Amino acid sequence: MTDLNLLYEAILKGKKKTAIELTNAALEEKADPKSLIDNHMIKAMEEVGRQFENHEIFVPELLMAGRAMKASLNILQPVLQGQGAGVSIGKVVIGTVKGDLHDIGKNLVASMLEGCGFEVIDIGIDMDSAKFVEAIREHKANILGLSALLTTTMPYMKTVIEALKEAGLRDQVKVIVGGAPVSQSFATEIGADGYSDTANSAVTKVKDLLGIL
Amino acid sequence: MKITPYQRLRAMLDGNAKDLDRVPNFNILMFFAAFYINKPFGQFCTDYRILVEGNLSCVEKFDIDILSTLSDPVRETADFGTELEYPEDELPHPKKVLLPNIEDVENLQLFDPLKSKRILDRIRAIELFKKEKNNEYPILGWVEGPLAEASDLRGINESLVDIIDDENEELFHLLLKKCTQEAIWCAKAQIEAGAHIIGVGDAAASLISRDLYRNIVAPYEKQIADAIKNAGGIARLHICGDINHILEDIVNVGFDIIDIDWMVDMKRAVEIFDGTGSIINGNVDPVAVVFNGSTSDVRNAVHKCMKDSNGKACISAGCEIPKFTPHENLIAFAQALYDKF
Ligand code: B12
Repeated sequence: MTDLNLLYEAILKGKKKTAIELTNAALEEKADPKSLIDNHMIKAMEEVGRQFENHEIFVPELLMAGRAMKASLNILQPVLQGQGAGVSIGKVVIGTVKGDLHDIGKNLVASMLEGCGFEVIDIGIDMDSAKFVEAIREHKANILGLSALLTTTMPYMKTVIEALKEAGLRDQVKVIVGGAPVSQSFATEIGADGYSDTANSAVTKVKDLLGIL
Repeated sequence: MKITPYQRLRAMLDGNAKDLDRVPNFNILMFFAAFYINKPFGQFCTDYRILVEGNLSCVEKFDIDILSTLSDPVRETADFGTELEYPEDELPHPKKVLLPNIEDVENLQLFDPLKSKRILDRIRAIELFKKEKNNEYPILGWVEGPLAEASDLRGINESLVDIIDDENEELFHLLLKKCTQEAIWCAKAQIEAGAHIIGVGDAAASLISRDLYRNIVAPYEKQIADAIKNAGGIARLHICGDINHILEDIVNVGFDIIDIDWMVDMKRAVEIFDGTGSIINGNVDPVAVVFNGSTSDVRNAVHKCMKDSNGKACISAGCEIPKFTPHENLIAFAQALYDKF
């Protein structure tokens, strides 16, 4: 039997090859993909997020863990879809707003969300409001994540929210905002539904907003 | 006789700060300086005359003690062959990265700073500063540090995986080696042109663990610091962001001036570097205080830095002064430096 604690370890330590091998081995032994994800892989990503928050690990370790997680998910997803059980617990469009090129934090949030079972459409950096609106329409997303690292680009988040209203999409999506200079009070002021300052709490917040426990 | 900004810096480095009228004001201006003289930021980045005019206007108005040639982090990146986008009033940035695959590093060609485009423009700025203000002000040249440049050439999300992925260890070291060699050439060319200080910007280093910094990045940074000092320059390290976890390791890298951003503990930093021959520069919060604060917030923050450093540090905001900073805040910043405790 494959020791599934090793899968947890492999993701925690960002060992992509090992994670792939263990995932394949577990599938051959008819392990339940849903349980692999929920009980081992997501647990690993939660621990990764915790260690990052406590400065025990840094961005490279987090990126590596995200890569290992994604590789395993890529193996499991077709199986789950074959079983008729879609893995996605929500659809997120995420991007960095116009004028802003910072994307490390946004990518981490995206990979955490993905790791925790969301379908994530990352539209990139320097995105204007039309692009966000278009992506939400196209993908029928129910969550929009906006990232900004500059005080000069932060106000653009409000522009995006206004554009959602004009497009008649505001009720369809929950908007969550983040990035180093963003705060809860700023989020409230611009009419966002949520804010979080780390990738880990972003997942909790999104689940909260969607009423998933 | 009036003391010059250059003499102020010398006294700090020689450990004679006590006799000074005030410690140096080392604020970094980029967007702000362009905006101050009403020129688009794109021109500030591409025409050394605009950069020089902006800085000269600001140092006089705001009592700043350094003439800087900083504009954007992608000068070397462009000269290595990356195609850049130059928006009218924003930061130039790569259209696409030069090295999408780590294997591409083997074909990366170094360039001669004197035959380059963007580093040569910086050299011209140094020459013009020298002509205008020879030895009155310290002139600050600049190079990108090894991890910063590797990140600009590869994309930072890729370089931060490369650095930890043992599969590509050799190739990533080759990249750091090439970036280091180029930085050394660019630094020497700037010192020959008249730069007194060479700043080494390596912001990406705030995002990695202590082990990775110590084992991978620091040895290359040290080569650059040594080369600057051997060429007669003053070596300054600028890693913006939180570097509390690597301060002890930075001691051994041997820079003369170490910049610290606002999230770093000034008191602790000064203690760590006390007696090492290096001095700290920092660390008022550029956004929350300098840009968004009142004049009295600015004054209090400057005083706190002065007290925490016991008069042993140069004072500046932790990073660039934001473009729309109220002028009265920068004036309050400069005036606060004269106050005695
Ligand atoms: C790397 C970096 C860059 C790189 C960006 C590369 C890239 N691909 O991202 C480069 C060199 C391009 C860059 C450029 C600039 N930068 Co910069 N940069 C940084 C740096 C060093 C790290 C940022 C980072 O990635 N942090 C790590 C991540 C993990 O943290 P994070 O982004 O905050 O994300 C976390 C949370 O905020 C949250 N989060 C983030 N996004 C989202 C989204 C959602 C939906 C949610 C829920 C949560 C969330 O979760 C994340 C994970 O925990 C910071 C300084 C620092 N150390 O903080 C400056 C910094 C952000 N930059 C700054 C500046 C001023 C600039 C420039 C203007 C400088 C210049 N003149 O060259 C340009 C602007 C370019 C542009 N138009 O965007 C300032 C911003 C000041 C301000 N508040 O306005 C900073 C703070 C430096 C400083 N001390 O002054 N920069």
